[in-house]
Amino acid sequence: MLKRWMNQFIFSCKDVSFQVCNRASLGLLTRFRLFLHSLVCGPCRNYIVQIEQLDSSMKDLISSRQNSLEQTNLDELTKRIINKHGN
Amino acid sequence: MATDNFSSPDFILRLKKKEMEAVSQLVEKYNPVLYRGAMAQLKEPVSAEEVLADTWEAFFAAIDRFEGKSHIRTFLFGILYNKIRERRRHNARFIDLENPDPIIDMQFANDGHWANQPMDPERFVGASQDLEAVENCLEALAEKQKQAFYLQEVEGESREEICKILEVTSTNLGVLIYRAKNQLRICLEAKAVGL
Repeated sequence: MLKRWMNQFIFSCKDVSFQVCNRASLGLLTRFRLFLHSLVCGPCRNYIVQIEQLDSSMKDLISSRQNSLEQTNLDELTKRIINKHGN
Repeated sequence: MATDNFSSPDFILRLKKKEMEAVSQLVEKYNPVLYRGAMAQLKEPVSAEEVLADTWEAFFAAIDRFEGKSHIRTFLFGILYNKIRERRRHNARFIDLENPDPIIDMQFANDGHWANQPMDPERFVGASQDLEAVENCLEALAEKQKQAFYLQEVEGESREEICKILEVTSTNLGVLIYRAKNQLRICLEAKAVGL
């Protein structure tokens, strides 16, 4: 019975993969269950690091795109929109 | 006078009257944010500018019907993403959120354990730091996955706001983010193998 309870309480790798991607919205108990699983599962620890690397790369990618924008063009566009819609 | 509360009834009333000062405050505050959002999706400055102009056009046409039930930022992003969707409808792919994604499902055995174990992060990091590779993988995602990912990871919007903007339930948002991250991960692993 204890074994069955443990099997239900500890996440499967597939559950972990889903929860890690939505970590910001997790409650304490779910975080604890994730932690327990990651203690005993090397592949899931690798997966968690991969997802963290992915998040960080995405932020670098978007900021590199933003840095390449011509600020003057945006300022001109902003002025055009204000003049068009304001009385 | 600058305002921080763009959703106050007083400010909305001034917008409905198209008061220059209110319009100017709102556009100056949100135009750069919307432009970033449009660029993240479209990549082309000209397309982003066109979508932005259409977004403001639609916003000021609809402002009389805006009741202030959601934040004005949510309203604006909702219009922006509708305009982007309209623009890309011809090549947008349908995302079936009800059924499992076969590519992701292949990663797992029937008992829920890994069938294809994630690669060692030290090998993965090479591909994930190659921004060109990340960009190529990102382009392969479905439109709504990209939008959900951008709003959550880059703009830092709350889940509640993202659900309103993309018109999805919280559960579906979780699935969108999960699939987006895993498809990117699988794509980058494949690139890492080729490095």
